[in-house]
Amino acid sequence: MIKKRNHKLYIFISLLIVFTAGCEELAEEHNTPDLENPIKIGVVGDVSVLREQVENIFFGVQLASEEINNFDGVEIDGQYHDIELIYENSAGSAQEGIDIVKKFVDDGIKIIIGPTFSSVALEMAETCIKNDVLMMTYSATWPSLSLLDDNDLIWRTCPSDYTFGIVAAQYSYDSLEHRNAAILYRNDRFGKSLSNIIQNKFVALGGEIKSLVPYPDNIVDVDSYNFSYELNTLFKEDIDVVFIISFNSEIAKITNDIYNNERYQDFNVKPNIILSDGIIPEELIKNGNPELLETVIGITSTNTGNPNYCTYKTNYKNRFGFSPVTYSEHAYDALYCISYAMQKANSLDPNEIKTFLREVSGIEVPDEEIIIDQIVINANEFDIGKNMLKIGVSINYEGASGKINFDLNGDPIPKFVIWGIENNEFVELSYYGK
Amino acid sequence: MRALHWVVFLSLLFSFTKSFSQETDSTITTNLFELSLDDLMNIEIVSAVRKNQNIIDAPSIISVITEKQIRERGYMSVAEALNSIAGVDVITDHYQPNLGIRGINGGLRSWSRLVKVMIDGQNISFRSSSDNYLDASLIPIEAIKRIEIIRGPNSALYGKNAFLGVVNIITKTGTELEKESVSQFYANFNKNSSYGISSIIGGKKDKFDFILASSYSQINKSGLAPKNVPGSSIYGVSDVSNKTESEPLSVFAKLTYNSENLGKFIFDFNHQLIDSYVEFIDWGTLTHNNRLSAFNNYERLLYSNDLSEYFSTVFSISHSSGRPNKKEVLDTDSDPTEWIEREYKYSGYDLSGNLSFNFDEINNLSLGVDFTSDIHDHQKYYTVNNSGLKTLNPGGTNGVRNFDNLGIYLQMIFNAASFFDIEYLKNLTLTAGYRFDYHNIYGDVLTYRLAAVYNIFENLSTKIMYGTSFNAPSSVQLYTNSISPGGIVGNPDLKPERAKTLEWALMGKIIKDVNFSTSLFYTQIDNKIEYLLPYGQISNITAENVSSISSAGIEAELNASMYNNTAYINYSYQKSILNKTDPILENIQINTALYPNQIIKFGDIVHLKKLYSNINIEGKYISSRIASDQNNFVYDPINYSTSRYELDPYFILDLSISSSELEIFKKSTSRICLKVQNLLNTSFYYPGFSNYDIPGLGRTYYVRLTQYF
Repeated sequence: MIKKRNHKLYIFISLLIVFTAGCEELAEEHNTPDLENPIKIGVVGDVSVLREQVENIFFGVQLASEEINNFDGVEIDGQYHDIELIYENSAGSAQEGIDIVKKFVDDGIKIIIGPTFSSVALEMAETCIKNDVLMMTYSATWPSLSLLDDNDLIWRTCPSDYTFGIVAAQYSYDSLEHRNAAILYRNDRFGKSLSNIIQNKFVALGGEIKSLVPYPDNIVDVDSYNFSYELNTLFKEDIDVVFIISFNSEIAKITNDIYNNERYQDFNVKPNIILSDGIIPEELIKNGNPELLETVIGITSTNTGNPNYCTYKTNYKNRFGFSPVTYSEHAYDALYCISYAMQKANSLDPNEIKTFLREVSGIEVPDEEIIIDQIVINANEFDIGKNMLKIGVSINYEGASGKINFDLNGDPIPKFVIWGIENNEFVELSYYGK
Repeated sequence: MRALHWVVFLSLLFSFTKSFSQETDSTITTNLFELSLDDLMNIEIVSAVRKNQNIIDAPSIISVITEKQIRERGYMSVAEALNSIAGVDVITDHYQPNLGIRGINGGLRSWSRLVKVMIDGQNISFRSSSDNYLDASLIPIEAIKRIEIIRGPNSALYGKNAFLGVVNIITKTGTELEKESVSQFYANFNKNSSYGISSIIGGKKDKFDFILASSYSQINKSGLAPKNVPGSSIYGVSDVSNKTESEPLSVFAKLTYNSENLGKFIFDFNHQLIDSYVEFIDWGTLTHNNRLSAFNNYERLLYSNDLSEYFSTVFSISHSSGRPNKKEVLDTDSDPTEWIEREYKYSGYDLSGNLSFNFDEINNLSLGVDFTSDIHDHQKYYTVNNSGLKTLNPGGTNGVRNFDNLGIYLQMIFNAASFFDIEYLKNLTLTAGYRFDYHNIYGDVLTYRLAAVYNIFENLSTKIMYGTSFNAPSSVQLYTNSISPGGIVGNPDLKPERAKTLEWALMGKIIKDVNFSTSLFYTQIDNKIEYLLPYGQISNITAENVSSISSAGIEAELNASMYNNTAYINYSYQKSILNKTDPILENIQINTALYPNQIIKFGDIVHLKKLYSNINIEGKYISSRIASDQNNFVYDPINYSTSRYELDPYFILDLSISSSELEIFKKSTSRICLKVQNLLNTSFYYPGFSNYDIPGLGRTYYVRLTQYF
């Protein structure tokens, strides 16, 4: 009897041990990177408005920080500093952006990469200037950002809409011989500004804008929004081309609504559709209306043929498991430019860093390609770039987005790829810039 | 209304069937439905090993809800009955219940996919999506003799989708039918009226036995307001559902021919019409125009025979089908000029055979083979406008595809003391099962289980079990196109989800009129299918095998019957950890969302014999639970993997008063049941998947009148 009882007891105890051991494993665990003397840099994006795209942009900066930290980070006065990124969501709200800047300043963060939207960037810029904060946006394209009295604190790695608008209107008028156009645009600063530039250039070239139609910029769920009202106005007269100034997250729904629009169906020759920067061809191929795809022309600042972009894309895909999207390479370059300038300045002070941003990104000299005594540093070559700077050699960082060469306004040298879709495949049609 | 005509027509069949039912043995059936607590502990179940076994001897953790409990507690659907069981958590989006089990919920667009639901062993899922519709459309509640619920894996016996549990609904026979009846109910929620009618007829004559049951209801739950994710203000006070209506219809019939010479033939069929306006669906909230409507049916012929004293055999052939109803309209916005239509259907053929060699009452060797061929016309969404233009939405795969599965299983139940003179092993019974499935889409799957049951005393046993199981990706998960740009699209590379479970249980009777069951479990799920928030270049949500879950917990149940009271209380604690890859944080371990850590359920029926009535009180305490990933993105768009909000805990109390059978009309009896659900009018919310959480029902009144003939 005793033996039997012991037997049962052993089984029971064994089970409890197994169960307890099993439960021991069931605890939350998050990876927190072990950073040495971290330099905190704020990364701001309107992630709650454009989740997929902004997260991908964040991942671009994250990749850059990991690559830099892999080479012991920035060396200031002989001490190594890893980069620590502090992500914040500006939620498409200028006030939210201002609050984030103030919070960063309170936390001693004086360098910001972002935000996403021009409307947020402009308000944040003013607060940054007041507080001596260096801000470098990767996707705010509003031209007015170039003209701010900013004490050289406001920069961007994406090209301005001014050049984009000129290129779009010119390509449409000259290359495609469009004469009658309509414009559908987001009713925000980005949409209004870019539509004005396109309109002015297209009219100046001799074309006519038949209709200029805004759509709300505060649509909560784009799939639940029906664009029929806007499209009925847009298509009231015969046109050769529609310029659509929208976000990537909206374009698939817009193309589907266009196809379902009766007036559009009445066109004997369907108008071309020219899209704003930031529209991802793969998204359009997957979710856009298939009947419209071959009429679509896109213009992007992402040059997928650039060898540095290929390196970046490969590294990005290896790290995250998917391909990067437009603007993520600009965000990646922003951190590299700042880090090289920091290294060159041997300082964490934004006012020191800003004075070297042009130098490390390559100085554009008329009638010459680059200054000869600069060493070209490509994507993911932080060790080389850092060592060159440490021994006093000038560098020219050519990033994932190609040549950067900041101008006097803190804008990069503009370069665009004009693309289309043929047989459900992305094709490059033309190029603008170096 | 056509559905209502059906029910009325079926009810009129009474006159035809009266003579048929005269041979019903009321003594047997009365005894069956008046099971004592002792009987309940010793009730025979079939689901654990496909063979009659006592609950305490069965090599599974199994709970049973009897017809009597369903009647006395006033359950209106299988989901409601299942929600009284330990280790089960049923949430809803007011379209269909979504059953979670042991710390895990299927999540977005999963309607009880984690368990296999069967009627008398026949798979009843909607095969296009593998969802199980557990509302009133599943089966007329009167047709149910008992519901057997196995918590834990059972793929080694039942194949795919017997993943984390099995629900087997055992139906009555004509012989067991106590009385034929017609029931009507009237309900009121938020000043909305709902009503329903159901009937059951049946009986036995000579070698024939039949039963026919039907139910139809119109349920209106309008007036519900979604709750914003903390910190957001998308929905205002005027945003309430004004079309939360459903019209479930269900018909079940079974005809049995039993001959000593030829064996037993059973033909049964089940028809479900799942028909509901949906206001809280992720792709179209409060559009007031979404109506999901679909048919799901099966017809089966089953033959069983005891070939000899030792050999018995069962063969069955069945046909299942499902497709949307013409009433279905999908609408992602409030614009009436454009809507979405859905095309999909399936037609499935099942062929199965089982041969058992019974050495004696305990020892048994079974060999089974089954072949399933499901012909799926993949789910496709079209955008349609009022000028008749119909365009195929992007993504997905066109065409028809066969899903063929061949399964072979072997099971042995073995008591060593029956064969050898080993006295100390006489109380130990071992069960081993092994199953091989070959599927033409996702390939081979091997599953097995091992169990040991030891009878400590006559009414006390302990069990230890280990088993593996799998959940197959459905046609919808593999091949659907998107309902709207950026919506869910299929992933043809999906693999089955796999689980391994170790369980231990102790169950039996401790003192007179009190029985209990307690169990521990540890489950490891791999290749868990998750609907990923989109990354990369395409904004579609896709299902991928990206995570694993480790889950452990304890379940304890106590039943007591004394002083004219029949009471139960159960408690479950579960902790589940999701192992996933976050793009920034890389590998992380976080608590699973959607399922509460602790659940307490209790009920007490007071039998007031002098007043010819019963009073039933049931309560549920549900602890807080983490909101869905989709909502947590809204809550904290930066750190949504780790910074998450929880839904508040809540306590719900239901009260029902039912009469005994009263002789209001001559030669017939009646029964009245009054039920108040959520008596305290507790405000509570279920997890939502699209910027809001879903409101639970407030206080709701039901009156149900049943007339027996």
